[in-house]
Amino acid sequence: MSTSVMVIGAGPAGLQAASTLSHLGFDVTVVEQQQYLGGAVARHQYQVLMPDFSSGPELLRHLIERVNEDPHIKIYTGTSVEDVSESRDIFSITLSGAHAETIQSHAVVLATGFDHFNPARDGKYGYGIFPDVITGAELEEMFAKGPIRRPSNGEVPQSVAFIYCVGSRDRQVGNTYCSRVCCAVSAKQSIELREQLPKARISMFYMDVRTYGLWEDSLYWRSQEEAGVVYVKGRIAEVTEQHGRPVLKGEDTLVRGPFEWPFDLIVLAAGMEPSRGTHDMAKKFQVSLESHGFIKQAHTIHNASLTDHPGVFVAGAASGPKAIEDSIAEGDVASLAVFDYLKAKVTL
Amino acid sequence: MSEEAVMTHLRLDPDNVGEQDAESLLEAIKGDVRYEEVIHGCLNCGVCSGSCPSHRFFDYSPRIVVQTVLSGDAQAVKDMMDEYIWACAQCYTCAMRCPFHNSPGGLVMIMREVAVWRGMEAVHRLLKPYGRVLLKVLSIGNQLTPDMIQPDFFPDWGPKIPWSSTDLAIKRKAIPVYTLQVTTSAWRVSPQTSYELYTIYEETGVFRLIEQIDPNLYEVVSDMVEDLRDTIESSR
Ligand SMILES: Cc1cc2nc3c(=O)[nH]c(=O)nc-3n(C[C@H](O)[C@H](O)[C@H](O)COP(=O)(O)OP(=O)(O)OC[C@H]3O[C@@H](n4cnc5c(N)ncnc54)[C@H](O)[C@@H]3O)c2cc1C
Ligand code: SF4
Ligand code: SF4
Ligand code: SF4
Repeated sequence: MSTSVMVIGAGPAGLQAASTLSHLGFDVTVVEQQQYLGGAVARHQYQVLMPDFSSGPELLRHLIERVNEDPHIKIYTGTSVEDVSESRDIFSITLSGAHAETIQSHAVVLATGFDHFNPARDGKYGYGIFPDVITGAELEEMFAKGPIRRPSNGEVPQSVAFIYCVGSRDRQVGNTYCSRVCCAVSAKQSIELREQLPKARISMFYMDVRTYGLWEDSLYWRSQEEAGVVYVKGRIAEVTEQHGRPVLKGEDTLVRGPFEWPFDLIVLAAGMEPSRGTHDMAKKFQVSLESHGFIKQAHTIHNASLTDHPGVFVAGAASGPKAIEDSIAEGDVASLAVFDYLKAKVTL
Repeated sequence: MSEEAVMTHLRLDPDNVGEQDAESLLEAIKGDVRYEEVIHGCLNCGVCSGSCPSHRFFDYSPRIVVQTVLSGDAQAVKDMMDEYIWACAQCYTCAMRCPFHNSPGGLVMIMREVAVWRGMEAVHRLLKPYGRVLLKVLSIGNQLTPDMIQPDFFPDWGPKIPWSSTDLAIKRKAIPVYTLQVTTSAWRVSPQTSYELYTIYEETGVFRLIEQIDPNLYEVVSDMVEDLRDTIESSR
């Protein structure tokens, strides 16, 4: 009997895991609830990727072609996990949707990713009330569809503000962690915006700028030096509206004190939360969550992909906020951990 | 509970009335039972100030209050208690928004109570307009009574107030609760209640505090206390 592994979730982490697992000699079934592959990158049509400004569609093409052309990988889109039972280290997984069947798997990789924090949950941002207040993900979709315009009236924005840490680092909304990528993604977006809007005022309202490691100069410094983006240290207290324009209220904690500042377009750097699918799968496969609700890494330092349930592995944003590069790397880490786990049990 | 524990909980240590050494003021603030609830740390993010109506109109920032207390600079904290913190409107919007779940407004309240208790200079000045309220609190335990609602005292209360403040006795009678039909207090207060209040004020050092902050008011109050005590004690 061949050795089969199920990968749940076909974002960057899951697609990478599927391909690597196949290279290692396993038969792989990829289960994806959506009709498309590529996770958040496909959902929001990221065109230009942080940190290296490479092409999002090209990355997707690469990840997807590899799994499509691989005879050892079965792709089940539009499919969900209904029921799981386990007997002598073999998972019996009943699927529903487009491929309603029951599959035996020797190991499972959870790559179920994240959901964006919905800013409507925090009333102070006026999201869903003022049309010119959008999320970073919606800005990515705008970049994909055409030139940047104000949703309220279709005009070219003369001023754009980014609000950092929306739904992250905030006890009031229950998320006390940092989402890790939104500072750098916002800096990337501001540089892209500058190309379209040579004269616009672009301001970033931050509490800390966390473009850690190699992203410091390539994104944070570059956005100032090349794109003339202005950084204001002060977390936004509230968004109101005056004369049809959103107005930011806050304290410039370093220089100017209180402000009420109108902008044509407001971009909320909304953070990452464990996806609903991540929670569902954690329950069905009986793995623990860590205190913020992501899948708990049993040995964070030792190996990023181990859960506290033997035979169940995790990769990507399902175990915490992270960038695409880390999610893809973890797809490989999980594949090797699966190999390690199974090689003692079965002959490949 | 030991007597000492009661004192600590109320933070009313009569021996400390008038003590204004900066370090001891900061100690009193940080030693308050509420302190750990109102300050957990601070991200220096400015959400409190950005939300604060006083920050918008005065040289006042709740973030700076929090940061100054956390800095441990006792002299700076003392300076702040003189004027700065009195711009807070106690609306607690800051507490609703602070991502760390701090309550800068709650911290200000603790600082004000310490300032009052220690009889700081600012308090003499800032509490002057509250003389009428203080007198009511001290004499009958009410703070606001119908006869205090007069347009002279509330010039900013809009056009309806003059009407509300006329024919008080008749309007009060329309309220179908017996105790509310007085106009000089919020409800009827028996002399025995005032008598007990005075004993509490004396035991806890409140009278000593008033003597320190507002000697004129204290004189009025002592006469009142003496009269009432004579009446009650002679009728026993
Ligand atoms: C606005 C924004 C812009 C970003 N831009 C960048 C960038 O430029 N560069 C960068 O490095 N990172 C970026 N990121 C981060 C990047 O999106 C993530 O690192 C990456 O998507 C994580 O990949 P993943 O495969 O772990 O999860 P996801 O991309 O979330 O994929 C998870 C997949 O699992 C599926 N799934 C979930 N539950 C189930 C279930 N129960 N059954 C079946 N399928 C399920 C989902 O439908 C989804 O397809 C950005 C993030 C945001 C918020
Ligand atoms: S990455 Fe930046 S914007 Fe995102 S939560 Fe962390 S500090 Fe806030
Ligand atoms: S309670 Fe005081 S500090 Fe807090 S927002 Fe209101 S006025 Fe400002
Ligand atoms: S909102 Fe809270 S964390 Fe932010 S500056 Fe004010 S007290 Fe500090």
